[in-house]
Amino acid sequence: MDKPSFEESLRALAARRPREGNHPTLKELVAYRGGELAAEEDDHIQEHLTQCRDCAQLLLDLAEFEQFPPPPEEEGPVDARAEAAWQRFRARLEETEEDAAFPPPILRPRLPLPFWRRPALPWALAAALALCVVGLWQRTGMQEREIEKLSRPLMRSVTLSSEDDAARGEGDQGSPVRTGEGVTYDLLLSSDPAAPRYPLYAVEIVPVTSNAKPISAGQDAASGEILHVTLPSAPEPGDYYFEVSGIEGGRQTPVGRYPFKVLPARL
Amino acid sequence: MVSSDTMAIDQGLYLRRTAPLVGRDVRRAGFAEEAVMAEPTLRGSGIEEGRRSVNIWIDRWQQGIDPDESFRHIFRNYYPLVRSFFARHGFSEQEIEDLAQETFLRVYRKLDGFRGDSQFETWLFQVTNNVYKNELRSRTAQKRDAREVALEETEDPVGAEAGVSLSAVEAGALDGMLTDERAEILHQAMAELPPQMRRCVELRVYWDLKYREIAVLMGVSIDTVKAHLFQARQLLRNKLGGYFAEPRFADSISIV
Repeated sequence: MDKPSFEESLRALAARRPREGNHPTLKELVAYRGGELAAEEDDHIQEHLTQCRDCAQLLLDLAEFEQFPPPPEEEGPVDARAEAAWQRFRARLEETEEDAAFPPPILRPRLPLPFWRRPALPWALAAALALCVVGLWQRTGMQEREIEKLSRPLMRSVTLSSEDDAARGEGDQGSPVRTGEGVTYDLLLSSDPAAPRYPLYAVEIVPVTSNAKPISAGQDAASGEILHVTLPSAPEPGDYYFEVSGIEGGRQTPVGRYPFKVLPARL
Repeated sequence: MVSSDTMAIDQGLYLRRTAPLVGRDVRRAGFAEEAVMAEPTLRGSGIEEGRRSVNIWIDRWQQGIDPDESFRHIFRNYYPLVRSFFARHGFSEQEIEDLAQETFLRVYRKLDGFRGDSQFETWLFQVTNNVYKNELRSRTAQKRDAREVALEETEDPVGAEAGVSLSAVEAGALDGMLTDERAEILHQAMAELPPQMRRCVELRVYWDLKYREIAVLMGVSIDTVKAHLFQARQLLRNKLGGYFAEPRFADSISIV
């Protein structure tokens, strides 16, 4: 029977060894070649080289470089391949330098900006501010309208339309009004288009400061927003108001009160 | 004939540019024996002269003196070395050219930072090796990202295993022929060899390295490697002759 090969048997034996995973660094290999390591480290690297083909090859490559003899400069033969490679390298270098001088735009994937840097935020803030302003303005307007609405019964203006000088005056609350029989007042019903309109209005003159009975000033249709009221008689001096009601379908609905004052006749 | 020691010292002197003959230099000086044995002194002067010349061009480039011409000299001197590195690692002609160009582009950009703390060739090797590693990483990433795998690539199922080149398949096949008894005897015989002699045998048998390469790895002269292997062969033959065929890892003639 043939004896087994020594070399193959030794390789089989090596395959049974656990693999060495602790590879030396290139720096350590350079130091090893330079004889700069301690004997123990030297020994470790040598042992590793018998187990690791990659590290052995790395060290051989390193030695190839370190042992490389550059040709003497003066009369060295021109290596045509190296010269051609140099020309290509030179062209590439120029291209690279041009690229560096005028770099192409760098296309990077757009990363999400933090929320405070997003362009939508200023717009959102501006919109919110605008909404606040509009809201305040509307609220103010609503308040004014509400005030006007609440005070409407007491603040109705009463304007004299008579040419009679004796009856000229203003009908705002508290203001003196000279009045008399046949004098016509224009009562502003409402400037609000949403306010209810009636085909017919009834007006009564209600004394405030005396117990006298209300006097009917008749019924009439409004002329747009204006209701013309003609006094049936000259009332006694004192405070009054016109009680205006809307009439529709036989039903009478209060519309408002228009205060006025009757002063004693001028002497 | 020039003695081994004299030759080692001579070569050590012109293999090192700046540092004195220290450490492993003395031991490894014999490495270049095969290449320089014919005319050591003449060749050695050329190396020294060439190194000095390259250093001058580097200095000129760093000082901005005719940078184009300076770098051209550096490029032309070291282009063959860089090319041979990539060729040795199995790249195609086009890839070798591209990778060499990339290497020199990096050298051009980083040469300003080279301060001469190490030999320029060591620095150049680090740059070259980085380009090589990046290329390997890039290829690994491409393979990983690729959906379809070519048939040729599937033929080496254990090829990606880094480290020891004895594949699991090969190891399994070899393992079958080695009985426990023989394994123990072989292990014992190897363990009894002096450490450096044993390592020389292992490097020769495991990786099928040349004497010159073993000398580089062990930091000894080629003669030392030859002597180690020859003696190991004799010792192992005496001890294992009854169990194994005669070792073939060393020349049968003595070089001592």
